[in-house]
Amino acid sequence: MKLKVLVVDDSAFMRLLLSDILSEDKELEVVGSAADGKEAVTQVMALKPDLVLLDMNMGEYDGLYAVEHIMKKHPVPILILSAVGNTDLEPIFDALRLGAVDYMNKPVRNNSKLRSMDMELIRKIKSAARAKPTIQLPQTKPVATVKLKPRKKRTYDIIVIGASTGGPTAIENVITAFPSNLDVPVLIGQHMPANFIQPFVDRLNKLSPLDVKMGVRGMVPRPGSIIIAPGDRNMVVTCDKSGHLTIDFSDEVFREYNNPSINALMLSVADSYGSKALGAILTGMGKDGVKGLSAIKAKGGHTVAQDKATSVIYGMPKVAYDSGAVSDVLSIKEIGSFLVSKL
Amino acid sequence: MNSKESEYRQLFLLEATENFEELNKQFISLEKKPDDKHAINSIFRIVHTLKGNAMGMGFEAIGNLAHVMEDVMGEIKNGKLDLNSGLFESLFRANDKLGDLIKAIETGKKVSYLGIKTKLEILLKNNREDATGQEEEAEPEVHEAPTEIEADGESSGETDSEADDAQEQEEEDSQQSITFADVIQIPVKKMDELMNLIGQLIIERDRLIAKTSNQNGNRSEFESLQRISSNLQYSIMNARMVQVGFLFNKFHRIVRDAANMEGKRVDLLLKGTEVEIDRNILKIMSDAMIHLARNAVGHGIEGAEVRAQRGKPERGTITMDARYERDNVVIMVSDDGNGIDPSVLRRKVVEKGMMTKDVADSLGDEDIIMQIFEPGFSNADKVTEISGRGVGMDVVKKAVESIGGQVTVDSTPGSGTTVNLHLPSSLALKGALLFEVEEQEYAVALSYTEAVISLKKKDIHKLSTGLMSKYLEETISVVFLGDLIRMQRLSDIQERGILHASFDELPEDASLDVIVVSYGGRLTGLVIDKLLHQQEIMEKGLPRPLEKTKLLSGTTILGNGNVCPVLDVAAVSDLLFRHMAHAKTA
Repeated sequence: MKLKVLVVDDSAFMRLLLSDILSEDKELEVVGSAADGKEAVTQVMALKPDLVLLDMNMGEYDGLYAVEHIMKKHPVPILILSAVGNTDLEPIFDALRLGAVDYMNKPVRNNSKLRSMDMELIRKIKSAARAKPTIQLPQTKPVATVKLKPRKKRTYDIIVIGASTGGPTAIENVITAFPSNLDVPVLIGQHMPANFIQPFVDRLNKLSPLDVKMGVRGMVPRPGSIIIAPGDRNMVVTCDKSGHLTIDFSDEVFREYNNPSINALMLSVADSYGSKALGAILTGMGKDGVKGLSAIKAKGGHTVAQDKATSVIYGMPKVAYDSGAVSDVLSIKEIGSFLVSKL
Repeated sequence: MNSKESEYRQLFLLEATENFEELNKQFISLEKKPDDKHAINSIFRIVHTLKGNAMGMGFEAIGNLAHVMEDVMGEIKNGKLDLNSGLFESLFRANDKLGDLIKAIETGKKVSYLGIKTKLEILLKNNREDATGQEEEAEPEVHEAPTEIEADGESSGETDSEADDAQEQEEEDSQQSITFADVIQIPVKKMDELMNLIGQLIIERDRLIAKTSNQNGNRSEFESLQRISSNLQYSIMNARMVQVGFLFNKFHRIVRDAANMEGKRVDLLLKGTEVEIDRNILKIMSDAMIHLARNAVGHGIEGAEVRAQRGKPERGTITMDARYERDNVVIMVSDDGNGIDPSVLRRKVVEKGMMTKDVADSLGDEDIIMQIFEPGFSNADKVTEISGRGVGMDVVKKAVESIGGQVTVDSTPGSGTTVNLHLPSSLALKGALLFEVEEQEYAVALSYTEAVISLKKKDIHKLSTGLMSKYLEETISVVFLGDLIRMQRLSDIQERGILHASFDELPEDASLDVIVVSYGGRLTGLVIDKLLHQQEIMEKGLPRPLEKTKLLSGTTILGNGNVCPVLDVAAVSDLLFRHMAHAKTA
C-alpha cells in the first residue's frame, strides 16, 4: 500500500515540483492537489489521503483555514511546508497547535544539496504520516499555575528538555507552566530547521514571562532564563577556565540527530550538573535524547517522559522509557508543573 | 537542458510573470493609498510565493531580492516600519528589478539588482536596531553580508557568471576568462539543406550500386560506403530531433488561458516529454495540438456541477503523452471529460446534412467519431471564443496527413476522450514498400501498410459498385489500383463497373498480390501487379502543376534513376470510404 499524499500549494510550479519529488519514492503516491485551503478541505474529504502536504501562504483560504477545517471534518496528518527564510512563522506555530503534525522548508535547489533535501522531505512525510493528528488544546493565557515557594535548598539546578516532531506545541505547554520567579535555567533542544528557531524563540518570549533566547557561545545559563539550541550546531554546556558554566558548541557528530542534538545537550548537562539536573523528553520521532536522559538518571538526576496519549509521535519517549531512562511518565499538561514542583 | 527542467522553467516563468503583473497592480494601489492593508498583504504574499518558487528553481537572485522585499513588507504589515515615500520609491524600484530578473531568465540579459537589495537590507537592519534599542548581545552574523557578490546563474545556464551592478561595485573581473558553451545553435534552414544533400547522396549511392551490380554482380566493394553514408544520414536525422517536451511545455499557458476563459479548472499533465521527434514535424503539429488542447478544455472538460454529479475531481485533467511505436511517435492528447457519445454524434451528422440517416446508422461507432474531423463539423452546444465552431478538428487531420501520419480517437462517453496522433519520427526518410502497377513503380509508406497477402479471385466479392473481401475475419474493401489510376476524374468512381473492370477480366483461378493498408482504423486491400521490395525513400512533394494531384502524396527517386510516385493512402482510403457510403444510399 502506498502512502497517499495530497499536495496543496497555490503555485502550480510548486505543486509540480513537489509531486515530482514525491513520485521518486516508490512508497508515496500523489493522489491529488489543491490550490487553496478551501479546495484542500474538499479534496481531503473526497480522496481521503494519508497525509496532506500543505503550503501556508495562499490568499483568501490559507493553510490555517485548511488545518482548522481538515482537523474538524476528517483529521489526517498534515505536514506544513514553508518557504525558507520566513520572517513570520506565527501562522505555522498556530497551525501546529491546531493539529498539524510537522513542518519543514520548501525544497531549495542549488548545485550541491538537491538530493539530500528531497530525501529529507520524503523522510518527513513518511514519519509524519504515522502520527496521529490531534488538536492541542487551545492555550489559555500563559499563566503559570504554581508559584515557586521559597525554600532552603534547591534539589535541582537546571531543567533540560528535548523534543522533536510535535515538540513546539508541547514545549509551549511546558514552559507556560513555569512561574515568573523560576530560579533555575532551562535548556531546550528542539529538532527544527535553523531558520525556524529565532521565530520560535520570539513566540515563546511572548508566551512566557521568562527570558527566552537562542543559545550563543559564552552565554551564561542564568536562573530564570530559557535557552533554545540553535538549529545549525550542537549546543552543550561546558565549564570555562574560570570554572563558570557557559553555553558552547560541540563539533562531535551524533548518530541519532544533529543540529541540534538532544544527546549532546543532555550528556553535557549530566557531566556538568551531575545529580542536580532535571531532564524531560517530549514527543518525537527516533531516539535522540535517550542516551543523554540515561546519563542524567545515572548521575542521580530526575527524568520524565511525555506519555503516549499526548505525544504526536510516541518515539523518543517510548525508547527512553523502554531503556529504563525515565523516572516518571506524564501527560503534556502535567510535565511543566511537575518539573517546577520537583525543584 | 532536459525536458523536465524546461517544464519547470516554463511553469515558473509563467507564474512569476503573473506574480509580477499582480505586484505592479498592487503597488499602484499602494501608491494611491499607502495604508492599503489589502495591497500590503497581497504584496507580502506574492513576494513570499515568488521567493519560494525561485528557491525551488535555484534562481538565487530572484529569491534573494524577493526575500528582502518580503522582510520589508512583513515589517510594514506588522506596523514596525513606516511606509514613507522614500521607502515606497525603493520598494517600487526593487519591484522593477524583480521584473527585469524574471525577464532575464529568457533573454539572459544582465540585471544589476544588488544596489537596491543592499539598500533595503540596510534600511531593515537599521530599523530593527532602532526597535530593539541599544543593548542586545551581539545580534550575530546569520543574515548574509549585504555586500556579497552574486551572479545570476539562472539567466540562461550558458551565459552564466555575469556578476553585476554597474553603478556601485565594479567588481573584480580581473581574471575573467571566456567560456564556450557545449551547445551551438544552428538555423533550421542549414539543417534542412544538410538533410536534402544527404538524401541526394543516398539516391546517388543506390544508383551506383544498382548499376555496378548489374554489370559484374560485385556489391561488396560498396559495403563500407553504404554503411558510412547510412550512418551519416542517421546522424543528421538525429541532430534534427528535439524532445516533444519542448512543445508540450508551452501548453501550461495555453490550457490555463483556455480554462480561465471557459471558467473551468483544469490541470495539465505531461508525460513522455523525453520522446524525440523531428523538429519540423513538431512545428507542423503545434497548431493542431493547440486546437486539440483548446477543444479538450472547451468541449471535453465539463463544468463544475456536472463533474461533481459524475463524481469526478473538481479539477479536470488534460494529459499530453508521447511514446515510440515502431518507427513512429504517437502523441496523445486526452481529457477526463465528457467523452463522445456516438449516438448523439450520429444524430448531429444527419442534422448537418453530412450524410443520410441510413448511412449514419450503417456506420460503426468508430467511423462516426471520425466525422468530427470533417470540415465544418462542430459538436459544441455553444460556441465559445476558445474552441470556435469546430474549425480546428479538420485542421488537425490535415496537418497529420500532410506528413504521412494518422489520427485515431478513443472515447468513452462520460469519462473522457483521447486523440492519438501517429506521426513519423522523421520527415526526411521513411520506410516504403515498392510495387508495380501496369509497369510503373509506386511506393507506399510502411507506416500505413498492415500486411501483404495473397488472395484468390474467388475470395473477392462484388458489393454494389465496389469489391469486398475478408482479412482476419474482418470485411475489407478491395480495389484494383489499376482501376483507380486509369480513372479520368475522381467522380468517375461512381460509375457502375469502373471498380469491377480489372476484376471482371481476371481468369477464375487468378491469384492476386494485395497490400492491406490501414488508415483511420479502416483496412483497405490494394490489388497490385507485382510486389518489388522494401526500401527507405526520401519523399518530395509533387512539383507544380501536379501538386493538386489526388491519390499521390509525392515522389521519390529510385536507385535506378526512375521517378517513383508515392501513393497517398489517406486519400485513397477516404475516397473509397466516401464511395461506399454513397453507394449504400444510392
